[in-house]
Amino acid sequence: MPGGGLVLIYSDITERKRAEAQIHAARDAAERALRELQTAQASLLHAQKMAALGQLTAGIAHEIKNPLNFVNNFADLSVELLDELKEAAEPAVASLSDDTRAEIDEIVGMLTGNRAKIAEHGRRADGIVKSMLAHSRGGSSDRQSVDINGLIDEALNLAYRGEAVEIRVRDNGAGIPPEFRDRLFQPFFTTKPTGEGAGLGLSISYDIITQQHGGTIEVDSTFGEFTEFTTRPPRFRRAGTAGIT
Amino acid sequence: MSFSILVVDDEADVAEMFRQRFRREARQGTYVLHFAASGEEALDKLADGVRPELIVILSDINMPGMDGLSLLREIKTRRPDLPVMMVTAYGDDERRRQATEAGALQFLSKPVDFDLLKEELRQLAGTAE
Repeated sequence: MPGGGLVLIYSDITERKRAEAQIHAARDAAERALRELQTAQASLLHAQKMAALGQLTAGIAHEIKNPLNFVNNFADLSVELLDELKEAAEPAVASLSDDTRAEIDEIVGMLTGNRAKIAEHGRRADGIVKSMLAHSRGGSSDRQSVDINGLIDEALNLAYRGEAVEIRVRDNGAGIPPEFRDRLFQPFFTTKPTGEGAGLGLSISYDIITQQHGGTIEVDSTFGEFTEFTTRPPRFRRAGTAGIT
Repeated sequence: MSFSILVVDDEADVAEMFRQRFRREARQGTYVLHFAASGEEALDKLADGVRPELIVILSDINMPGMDGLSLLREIKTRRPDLPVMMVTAYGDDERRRQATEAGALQFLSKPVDFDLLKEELRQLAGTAE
């Protein structure tokens, strides 16, 4: 431009800013939807695996139940028959020598004892089968369930309302070997035998705490002693509610 | 007075169990036990006639060939008044419903409570007498 004149280019970027904001919002929404879908997919997969496992357990339990019924039934019968034998043999036994009678009494005593043992172990096995069936129906086995929400509600009512909520769950179990520590929250990571664990529990928990609540989850463990999970969901701004669902 | 009981089950040990459970009653002549290993065999026995008077049929549900529910329906067309009790390890509501609908007198879950069963049999024998 001769004479070194100046050209002013003026343009209104309000529209572009708005479009950009819209794109960002759309992207955030899409990412949120993706995360939700991934979570849903993971829980669906988990539910499917648990359902298949439940069917398998119920099938096995039913198969075991039948022969076990026979064991328990014939054990009961043996007692009845022993009583009847004693009754039927009484007149004859009375005429035997003390020595022979003592021996017969001893054998009958042992047989009665055996039957008690069969019944005892039969009941044990029966209990296992029953809890397998209960478990496969989604009911509780012999482990006690704890209403964690109720427990936390109670604790929160008592506690000073500070900046954050911290929930620690600690057991006195086998602990987690250090080499597994890094992979603990990975989906499908499990140390259980094939078919027994989906390896999704902790990865879903991680998602719930970090993605859905925006909190943190940490693990501390000494192999052979304990495992402790610490979750810190943020407190919501609304008074009186902590971010726990 | 002596009465017959027909037990239908494909598992051979069920017969042995009943024989032992009813040893005294059989010895005293209160009941005569008959056994069939399948629904077909049970119908054959029924057609041949069971002596002394048959007061009840106890049938398993899960059997190869004709299952217990089909047997129950067949018996009910031939002898509508003959009491039939279904015995099964799978005591689910659907089977129970089907059995009741088809006219079963009782639906017993394995393991069978023999004290209860004997009480029911006493009542059936009392009605027949």
